[in-house]
Amino acid sequence: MQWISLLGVGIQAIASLVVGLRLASIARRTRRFPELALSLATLLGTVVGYPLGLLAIALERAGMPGVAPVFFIAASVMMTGVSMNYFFTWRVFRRGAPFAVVLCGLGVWLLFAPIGAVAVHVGLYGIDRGIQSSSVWVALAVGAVLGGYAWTAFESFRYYLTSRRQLRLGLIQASVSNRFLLWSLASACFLAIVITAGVVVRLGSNPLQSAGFSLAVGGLGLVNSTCNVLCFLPPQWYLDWLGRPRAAAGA
Amino acid sequence: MSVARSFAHVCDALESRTTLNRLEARGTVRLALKEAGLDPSSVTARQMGVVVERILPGQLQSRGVGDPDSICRDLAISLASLPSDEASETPESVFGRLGESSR
Repeated sequence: MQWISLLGVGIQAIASLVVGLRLASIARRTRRFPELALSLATLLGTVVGYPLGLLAIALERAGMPGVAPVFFIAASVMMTGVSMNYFFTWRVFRRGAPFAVVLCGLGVWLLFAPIGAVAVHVGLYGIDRGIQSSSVWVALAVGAVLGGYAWTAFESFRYYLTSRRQLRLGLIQASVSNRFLLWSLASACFLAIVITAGVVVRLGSNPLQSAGFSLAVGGLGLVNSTCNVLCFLPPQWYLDWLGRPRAAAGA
Repeated sequence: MSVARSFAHVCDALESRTTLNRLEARGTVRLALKEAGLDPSSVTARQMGVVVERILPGQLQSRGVGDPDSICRDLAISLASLPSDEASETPESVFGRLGESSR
């Protein structure tokens, strides 16, 4: 079972790297915020933050110093990635809505506020016991991550449903409509990962050292990678398939 | 909530050319836009043109407005002369950019 999780995480990291760089190149060309936010969200979480978290665990297991600082950097990088998700959803889907500004601000604050406290606990007690002893702070951060991905998945799926009506009138391309669905599914995968992490923490384990969590991350990572690639690097056969009348009707 | 120029244009035209009052005209156009999956605050002239041609005639007919086809034909022509408002950043335009030229 372990190889599935390693495969899933590996493929997700590679897919995120490719997709993130692709989005960064689009952002460089267009100079628009949504592309930049998405590229950072894609690169910082899976490509940089998660491996840094694993590095912190490896340092602890090897009895080497620097566990807390590396953990702090890993958490900060991952939370920066999730915060980009909040900013993207606000700016793209709810630009003029006052509640979205509040939700985005609150979410980002809750992402970053607990990091220092958790890192101090990790420095004092180690990763496992540190996370357990700072459960309130961890719960706040996990809740904020959960909220971010849930909001993104909801807004994107809502737009997907709306875009199906536009599709019938020829007002939108089938590939663009499908992209809303894929982005919603990709966000839902992260949502499921965070929920699994929350359950693992509630059971008193460190998600990064749990076999069940690794398996979930592996499986969901594969789905997430597929969605990301089809969304931002769609192969020609997929676009051709979407262009067919029956596929477009169900896009 | 602010509305798009094309939305205001169609509502004003309906108010002046039919027996619908301001509230009825705006409500009718809002319903037509909802059926098309579009938002009054971000609808472009091109999108509104499609709605006016494909959906609005039925909506006007159901409200007892006489000769809806002729009214909508004139509206579509007048929409074509509106200045372009495609610059607004919509989710559709963002997601359109995100997957472009990937081959």
